[in-house]
Amino acid sequence: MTLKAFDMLISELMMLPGIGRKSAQRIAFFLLKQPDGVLKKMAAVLSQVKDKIKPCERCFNLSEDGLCAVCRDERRTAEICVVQDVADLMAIEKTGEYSGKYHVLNGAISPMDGIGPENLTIGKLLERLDAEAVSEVILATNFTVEGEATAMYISRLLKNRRIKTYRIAHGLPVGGSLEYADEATMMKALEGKREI
Amino acid sequence: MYLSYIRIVNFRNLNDQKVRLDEGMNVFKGDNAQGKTSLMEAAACLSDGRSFRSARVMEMIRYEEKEAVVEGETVNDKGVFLLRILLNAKGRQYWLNRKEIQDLKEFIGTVNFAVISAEAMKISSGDPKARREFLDRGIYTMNPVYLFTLRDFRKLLRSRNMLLKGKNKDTDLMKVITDQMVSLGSRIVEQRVRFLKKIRPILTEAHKRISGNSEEMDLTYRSDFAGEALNADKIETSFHEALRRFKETETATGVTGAGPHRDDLEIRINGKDVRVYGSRGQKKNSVISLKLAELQLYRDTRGEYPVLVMDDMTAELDSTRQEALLEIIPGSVQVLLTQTGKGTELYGARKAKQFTIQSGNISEC
Ligand SMILES: Nc1ncnc2c1ncn2[C@@H]1O[C@H](COP(=O)(O)OP(=O)(O)OP(=O)(O)O)[C@@H](O)[C@H]1O
Ligand SMILES: [Mg+2]
Ligand SMILES: [Zn+2]
Repeated sequence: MTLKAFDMLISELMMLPGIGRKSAQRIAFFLLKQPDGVLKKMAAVLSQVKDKIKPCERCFNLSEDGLCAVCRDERRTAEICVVQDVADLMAIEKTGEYSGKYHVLNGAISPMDGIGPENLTIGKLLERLDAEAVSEVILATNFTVEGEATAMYISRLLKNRRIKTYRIAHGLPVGGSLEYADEATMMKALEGKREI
Repeated sequence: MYLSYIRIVNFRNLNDQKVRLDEGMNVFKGDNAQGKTSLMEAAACLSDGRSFRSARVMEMIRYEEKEAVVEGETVNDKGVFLLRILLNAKGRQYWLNRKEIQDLKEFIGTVNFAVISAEAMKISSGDPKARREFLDRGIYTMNPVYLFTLRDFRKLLRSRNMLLKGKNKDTDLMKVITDQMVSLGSRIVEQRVRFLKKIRPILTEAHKRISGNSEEMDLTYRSDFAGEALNADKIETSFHEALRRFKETETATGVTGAGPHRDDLEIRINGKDVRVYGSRGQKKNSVISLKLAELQLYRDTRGEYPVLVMDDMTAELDSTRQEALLEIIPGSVQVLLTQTGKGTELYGARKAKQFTIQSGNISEC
């Protein structure tokens, strides 16, 4: 017995991150059990999503119009927080503690993988600094070699622009016990010590 | 620490083997090509999933099979742990007490091995790579975070070499990648020098015993830019200087000219470089002394001995040397030892659990 449509569904589902054949099968069975309308609606949503959601023209956040909700919000203050991905932006937004704007790089510099500054939105960031009244730039790229390289590179470019540039701090997790911190985290935490 | 139990599935010529080990001496006898080295390799890979024989995962998997599994139960000063490693085309997966471990540094250190094998002999006779690996392994088994330093350094080195070869000369990017590489590379050198400082006195002492007090053994870190006395900041400065010196060759070859990836360890007996001047016996003995020192340093740092694996000792050492060695090994060290065929019983006065290996089947005798 071959079920062509079923196999096609499974191979589409397996494209999703973290979904292997087993999970794909489980999801496929679940979908088959749903009433017709549910699947039609889902299909409609899926087919539109790429047309509706476009990167923000200014900051590359996800957006449904030319500018994203953050860029359109006039209460936002004049800082720009630079992140690697939209997921990072969302994580910062969730805290509700940051009131400035963002700039999404769409990745990090890794010459080894053929990713240079020109493959990111760094050029566009520099344009924004000329065009907008930006008070400071906060570099919130990851603490990986690639993220650090990206932060260092951007801070070099910003040096002769007389704009205040910060790197976010990293250290021990809140509520974490010192005893379980690994050496690298501990070293960074000590480097970032402050007077109290 | 010791390994109380090991189970092996489809690892080299071993199809499905379970072995209960003694916490002291374990001797495995068998003719050539029966699976002795394979067993030692499987056991030792429980420390970090790596083989002392080959870098390729696929070589460890039994011909025609897709995956290999090594399981072990280890008893260390923190308790009893169940270790499991799965090897397949995608690489390695690790479990500790039935829980999958994503972060290798949470796995490393549960059980550790000091391995004396034909491959280990390359430390005194082979190229610098074997000696750098001796240093790096010695460091990361005691301090797993060092694995990340090594990994990140390699990434940066590859990135930098890409930039050297590339047409687009972004000097800002070159500066950033170089700074990062120098900073991590200096940390590697610093760690290696610190490791050497700790192991040298232990080594000299161990070698006195191995050589019957007749030889003085010592080590020196060899680098284009770093001497033993330097601290991390000074290492960074001289690393940068060295790269400036190599600038022209780097532009011509597209390869980073200096760094921990090119450094070496000089092993000396009575002041002379063993690799150049040592006799065959001296070369072998120097490796054994290094391994004993590694064992002792691990114990001094972590509070317990690693498991000592000695593969094919009859081939590596004559009987007097073997006996001398077994005398020196502290009584609380678990030993896994292999011997070919009918070789004489060379494990001294110790009582040993004995096994035979035939066509990949291990049985207690
Ligand atoms: N991936 C593999 N799958 C199956 N067999 C393998 C694999 N790799 C090696 N072998 C074979 O396993 C057998 C045992 O090898 P091993 O090196 O363990 O022998 P040994 O007992 O140590 O022999 P010696 O005394 O010669 O050192 C050999 O015949 C070898 O060719
Ligand atoms: Mg062998
Ligand atoms: Zn925007």
